[in-house]
Amino acid sequence: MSDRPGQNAQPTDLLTARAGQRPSGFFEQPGVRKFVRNRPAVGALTVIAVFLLLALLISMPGVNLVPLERATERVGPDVVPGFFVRASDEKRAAFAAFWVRELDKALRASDPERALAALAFAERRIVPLGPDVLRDRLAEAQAMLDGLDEAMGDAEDARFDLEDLAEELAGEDEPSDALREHERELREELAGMERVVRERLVALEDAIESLYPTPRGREGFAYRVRLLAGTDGQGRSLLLRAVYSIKVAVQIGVVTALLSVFVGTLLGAAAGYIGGPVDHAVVWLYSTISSIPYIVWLVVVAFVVREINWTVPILDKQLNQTLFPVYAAFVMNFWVGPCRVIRGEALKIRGLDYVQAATAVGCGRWRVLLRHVLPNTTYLVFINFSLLFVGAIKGEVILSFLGLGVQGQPSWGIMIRDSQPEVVVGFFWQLGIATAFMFVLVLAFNIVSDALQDAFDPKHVAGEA
Amino acid sequence: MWSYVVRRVLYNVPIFLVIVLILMALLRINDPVAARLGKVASTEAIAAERERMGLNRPFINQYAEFLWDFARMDFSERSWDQAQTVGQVVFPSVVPSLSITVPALALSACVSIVIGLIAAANRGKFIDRALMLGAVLGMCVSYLVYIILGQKFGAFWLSERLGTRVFAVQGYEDWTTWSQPLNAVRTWAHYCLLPVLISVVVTMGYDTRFYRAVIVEQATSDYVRTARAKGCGERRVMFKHLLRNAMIPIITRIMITLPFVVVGSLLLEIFFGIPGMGRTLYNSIINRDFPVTQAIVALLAAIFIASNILTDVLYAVVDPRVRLS
Repeated sequence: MSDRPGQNAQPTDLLTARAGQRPSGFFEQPGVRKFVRNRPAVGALTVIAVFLLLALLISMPGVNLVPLERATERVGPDVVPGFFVRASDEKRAAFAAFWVRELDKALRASDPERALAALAFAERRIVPLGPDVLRDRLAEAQAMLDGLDEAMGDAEDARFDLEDLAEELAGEDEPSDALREHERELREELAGMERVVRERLVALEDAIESLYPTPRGREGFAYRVRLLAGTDGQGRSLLLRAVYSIKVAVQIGVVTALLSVFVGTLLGAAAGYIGGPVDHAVVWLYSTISSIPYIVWLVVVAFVVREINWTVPILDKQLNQTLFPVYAAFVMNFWVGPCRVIRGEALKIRGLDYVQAATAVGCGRWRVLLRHVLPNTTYLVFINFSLLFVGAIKGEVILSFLGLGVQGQPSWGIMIRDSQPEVVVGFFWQLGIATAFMFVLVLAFNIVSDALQDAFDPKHVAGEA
Repeated sequence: MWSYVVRRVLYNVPIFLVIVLILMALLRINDPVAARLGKVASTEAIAAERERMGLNRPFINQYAEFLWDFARMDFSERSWDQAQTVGQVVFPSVVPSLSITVPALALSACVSIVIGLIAAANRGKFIDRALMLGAVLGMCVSYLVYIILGQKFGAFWLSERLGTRVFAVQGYEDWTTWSQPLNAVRTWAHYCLLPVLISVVVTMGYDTRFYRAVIVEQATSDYVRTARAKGCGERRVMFKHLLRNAMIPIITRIMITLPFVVVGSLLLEIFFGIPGMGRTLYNSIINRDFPVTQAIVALLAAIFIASNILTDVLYAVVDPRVRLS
């Protein structure tokens, strides 16, 4: 991008090489230098590093940034909007009704004392008063809730009346004064009713605040963080779920991309360099895999592996409770991509002078493969790694939608799947937060793989996979 | 040319055989009989069911029999899940599938090629950068998000706005009634146009990047410079010289995606309740109706191999320099 002639005063790498100073260090290699000059790519690499670090912090036993219980516990009413956006009156009434209902449930329990002690939503707890006091307060709150419902019902009726009247008015060419007067009256009445609704709502919310005081200080901050992105359909913190999902996504991405690239590179390099029957066998193997749409293998393998009745030794879990079915499904599909590309590259490299020179000097087949052929395919390995990482993250969403994906923990795919009924009724927070997290990571990987291709493959035009 | 086709077919036979082998072996890793009958089934019931499903025979026999039936295009094996033959389950799902995939493929190819041309013609300028940035950003959002938002805004929100239901929320109705063509198109649009549009939007990101790359590569080649040098107008260069030469990678792309698109709309079909091949395949896997699964996958593999060979033949038709040997 910035290599206009005359701008870099340094000699090009070819020249330095000719002068006897071979580019030695990692950062002196021409491709690496070109990559480092690409600002968006370096930024994307930083983003990826942050995500990896977060994933590490979440999964490390000592740190446990976001434990699984935090991502699966109820922190408040359902579908609370994020960033403390004020919800509609109806929704606020529903939130208030939730708090009242929970208190009611606790007081009706066989052991109210114990139920009240357990009545906590993360940091937000019930006031430490006796069951008798709380019973009175509950009755008050229930009365207020009833009053609010009544007022809201009245306002709703008035709104319908007004709509009917407006239709009537629109139907007449010259509406009579009486009709206009009636409309004005109705409008005023409605405004009064809405004022009543607002007042009762605020009073109810104050009552709830005194029942469940919002925590202050450190706890208050923690509670606000939980509610920052709102809650999902089961009152769980969307932000914590999305952050926890980073771990799941990175886990799936790293494992499947590493495994697939490893298998693909090994087979591809062997096929391309050794040739003969090995080449035929590998080509034949990947032709069989790629003759069937990717999603078919994905569904079949994920389904079959899930069903295997086997307890994983170290984790001590049933196979279908782990991520192994997902890994198996992805690796089965994904090794084909790197294998094909690296086979082509190895075929090309095989005919190059330095390989022939190495053979002439007496290097063995494996030495040539490991020391001369494979290192020259490194950039392809990295490009394929990031492509497959993206593929795994996106594939996870599809598998989770089909019910064959992650089990027992949140993931972006599960969040997106769960958001569907919420989106229909106009609640976009769950879809939005999961998509946003995924978007950032996938975009970073896309930018990095494009930049790698730009930097190391001179003939490459962006977009050609 | 015919000897070439015959040779390619023969070369692909082992590939097909291994696909079916892998699939049938995979499906039999877990005992489908026990899973279907549940844990409380008696040994006799399991044995009887196994006999009914034909699973008591050696694997090699089952494999050979499936291949023999497939070679004769005989789909009269009974479905394990429904009181129908495999053919009766699979064939009705072809038309619903095609009524989404064919328009989606055609539309997305046209739109993407046009956008790719625009971007390539303005290479490096603002339009190009904006289009390519849009493509990259669009690629970073999950397919499922497009589907969910498409349904929300295309079906729910639009109907609310216009007062009438333009697109169905989900469902499918047979629209192939040729006596009333207008009605047929309207029914099709009601159920299938929204999934088609979603599919076009999703594939556009990948396709425009690809087509732009192809066209840019051609635009920097010698023959284009020659055409310009001899005084061809920009439009003539674009359509007469450039697009014709770009046809090979474009045809490859479309032909390769063809069989994938058939099942690629699996998500759309499941989400919108369209009884196409993708949904039938998914249901057959989930309900362990393996005769249906095997038949669909074998058909897909056969279509894929056929379309690969057809692509090579098409090369020779499009490009006189290509000789099939």
